Amino acid sequence: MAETNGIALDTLRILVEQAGLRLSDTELTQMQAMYDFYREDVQALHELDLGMDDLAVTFPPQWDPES
Amino acid sequence: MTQMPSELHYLTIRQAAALFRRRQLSPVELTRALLERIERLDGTLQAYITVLPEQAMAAARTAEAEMLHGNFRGPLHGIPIALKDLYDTRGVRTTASSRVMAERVPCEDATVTTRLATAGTVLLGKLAMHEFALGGPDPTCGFPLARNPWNLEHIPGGSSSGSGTGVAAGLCLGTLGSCTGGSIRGPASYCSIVGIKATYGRVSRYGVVPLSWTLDHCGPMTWTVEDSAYMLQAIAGHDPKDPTSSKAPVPDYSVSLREDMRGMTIGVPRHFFFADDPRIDRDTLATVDKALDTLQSLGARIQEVTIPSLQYAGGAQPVIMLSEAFAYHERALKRTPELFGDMVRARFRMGGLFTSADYVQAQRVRLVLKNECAAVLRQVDVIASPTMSTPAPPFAGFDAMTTARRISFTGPYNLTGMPAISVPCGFTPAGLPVGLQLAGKPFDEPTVFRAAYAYQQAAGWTEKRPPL
Repeated sequence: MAETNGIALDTLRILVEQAGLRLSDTELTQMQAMYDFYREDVQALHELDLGMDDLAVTFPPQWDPES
Repeated sequence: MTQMPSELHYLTIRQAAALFRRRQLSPVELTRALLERIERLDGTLQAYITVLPEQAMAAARTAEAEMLHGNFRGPLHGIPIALKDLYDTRGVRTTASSRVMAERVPCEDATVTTRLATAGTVLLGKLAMHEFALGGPDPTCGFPLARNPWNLEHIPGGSSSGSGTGVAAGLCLGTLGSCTGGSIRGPASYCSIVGIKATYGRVSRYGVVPLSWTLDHCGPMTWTVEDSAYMLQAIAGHDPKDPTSSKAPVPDYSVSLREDMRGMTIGVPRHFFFADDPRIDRDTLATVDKALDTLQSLGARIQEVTIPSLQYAGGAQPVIMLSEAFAYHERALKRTPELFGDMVRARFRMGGLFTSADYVQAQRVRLVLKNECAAVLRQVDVIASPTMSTPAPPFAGFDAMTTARRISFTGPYNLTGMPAISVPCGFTPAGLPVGLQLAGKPFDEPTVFRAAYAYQQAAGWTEKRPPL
């Protein structure tokens, strides 16, 4: 099955094993739909051109809207 | 002492405190009335996981004795409250509504538990919640599922489900919820009460079971804005035990409780919150539009604003939340997955499948959103919107992805860390509550309180109680 229609079950199984998880076939099938759902939104994040700015990945609690 | 009102359980904190001071009501009478109501109604409403009648009555007697000696600690003295069951309570089981922590009894209080006790509150018990503060009402989690007092067939929202139900049903006068993507404002909106998530760093999270370290916030849920201000006053402030806790001084929030909005500008990002999207309920938007008219009539200037990256918040927030949740729960997910409910287990596992590139990109988008909000907040005092994109959904048909599929109107402010409140603003034709969300500049809770209080006083929705 082409992954353009969503992740293939075998590919997902590899990702799940890489994460150290063990899922039953039923759980894996359920995860397939969830994975595809989230992947669509995540793909949109990756398509954003955020440039080369130094964007911190941490979240400082003290932020100042005036700065 | 003489008992004055006929419905003690529906007193606000301010009303109860005034009666205590006039010696027209005692903490013992009020606590007893609430315990009796819990006994009578909670079998149906299922707001509580643990009720503490003996401990509560002992605390109420102590408060009463102090008051009889003229020692009033403040507006929370003698007030019966409850806590979401992820706030650690020394010697009292704290489960996060999960079999993973079913037998967990903390040996220390959360910082906010201690602060509320110091303020003189009476702890009635620990409240139901969605498992580990995620997702929805999962019948497989092994804990009670709280019901919405306005319509028992509908959810009260979550994850602070029991907190919404508990206050709205008159089973406590105030509570603390916790919020990673809207878990305070959501149930507040669905249950027609007030809930505020203060600025990230304003309230200590020490001793609170985490869901996502960089998104988690704590805050009060009450009948009124002033009651939330009293509770936030008690719990806000630096805590050396929480590395993200701010050292910024805590202002007197009661000063903000003014029925005046002249000079205030309210920004409305209609492009996102009022978009032509089938997932957004039209009745909710019509109700919130009326609330905006009310704000305008009070002297506020309404200004349409644009925050382009709001459209990406729904993609970024789950990546950060679930990745961090996976990190916290990884060992348990691998060793004892059967102890998790089906909904949470599936979504936590999803957190292990995002890549490091996904997480970093989500954090980068988060910073862009934060900068855009900061730019808008140089032009306006608060940003207004519906709290939720729909009214409370029914239990029937709720699955692991129901929450994920909807548009989150609350999650963006967990990403930015801005303070945000939900205040009741009406009901749909089906009789389900709608909330108005007001978000402000970081550490500017006073302005958020001021706008919410002025609206509350003009609109009067907080007078309405569910038909129980």
